[in-house]
Amino acid sequence: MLTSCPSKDQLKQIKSTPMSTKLLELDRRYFDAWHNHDADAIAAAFAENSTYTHPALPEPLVGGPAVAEWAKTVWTILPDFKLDLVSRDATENGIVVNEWVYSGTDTGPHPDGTPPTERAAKCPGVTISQYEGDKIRWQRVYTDRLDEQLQYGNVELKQAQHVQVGS
Amino acid sequence: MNALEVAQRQVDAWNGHDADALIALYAEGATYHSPRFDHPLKGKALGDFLKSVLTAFPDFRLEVISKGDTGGGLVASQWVIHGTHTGSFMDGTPPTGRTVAYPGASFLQVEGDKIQSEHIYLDRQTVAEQLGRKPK
Repeated sequence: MLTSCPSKDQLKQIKSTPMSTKLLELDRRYFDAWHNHDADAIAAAFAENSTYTHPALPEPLVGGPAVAEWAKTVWTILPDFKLDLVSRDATENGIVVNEWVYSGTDTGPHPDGTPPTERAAKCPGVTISQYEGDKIRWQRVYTDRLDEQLQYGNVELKQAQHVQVGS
Repeated sequence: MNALEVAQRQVDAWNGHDADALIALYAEGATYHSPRFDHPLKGKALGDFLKSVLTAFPDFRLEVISKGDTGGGLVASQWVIHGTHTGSFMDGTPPTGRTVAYPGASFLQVEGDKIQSEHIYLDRQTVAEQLGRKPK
C-alpha cells in the first residue's frame, strides 16, 4: 500500500542509533539468560550496587548476584520457566523496555515450604532497565501477581474479584 | 505535538484532576488495556473509568519515574500512583480511607495529538494489599 507517512517500523529504523542497537543487544543477552536459566550471565549483567525491583519482593535487590539468586529461586519453583519476548524498545535516555510473557509449571519446592500446585501459568509483564555503559544500573519488573495466583490455583476467581477494586 | 508532549499532557490532566482534558486526549475508538479488565475499555466506558479513579482518589497524583519515546509514537512510562481512597469506585467499592502508592508501567500509542491505545501493567495484589482487601 502506498502511503505518504512512514510506517511504525520505518520510524523505528529512522530513530535507530548505534547506542540503541548496543543496548538492545545487551538486553537481548540478559533476556536470554533468564530464558536459558543462566544465573552467571544474569549476575554479570548488573552494575555494582544496582537495584532490581519486582512486585513479589518486599525490598529491591541490590547487585547482580542477588538477582541471580532470585532467578534460581524462580527456576526451582518453576523448573520449566521460559520467557517469550513480545516487544523490545530502547528510548533516548539509555532505557530499554521489554514486554514479555513468562510461562512455567509450579512443580518445584518453595522456599517457605508451600507445596507446589502442579499447575501451569502464562503471565505477561514488562521489564524496564536503565543501562549505564554495558551494565544495568536499575531494573524494574511489572507484572500482575493476582493473575499469577489465579492461574496457579492459589486464589479462586471469587476471591480475586473480591480483592480487586476499581473495576 | 509529539508523542512525548501528548504523554506529558496526560500526566498534567491526571495531576490537575481534569477528567474532561484527560478524556479529550483519547482518540475516538481508542482502547485502554489493564489487568483490571478482561476486555479493553473504549468510548464511554473508558471515560467513566477515568472519572471514577479521580472520584475514588480525590487527591490522586501521578509521579512519573521515567518516560521515553521508543519510536513510532510509542511512549513507555513507569510511574507511581499516589492517593487516598476517600471516594467510591465505579463498581461501588466503598472508600477505605487508605493511602496508596502503587507502581505501574504503561505504553501509550500516540498518533497525531491523540492517544490511540494505552496498555497498563500493574500488580493488582499490591493495590489490594495497600487498600486492605483480603481474599474472603
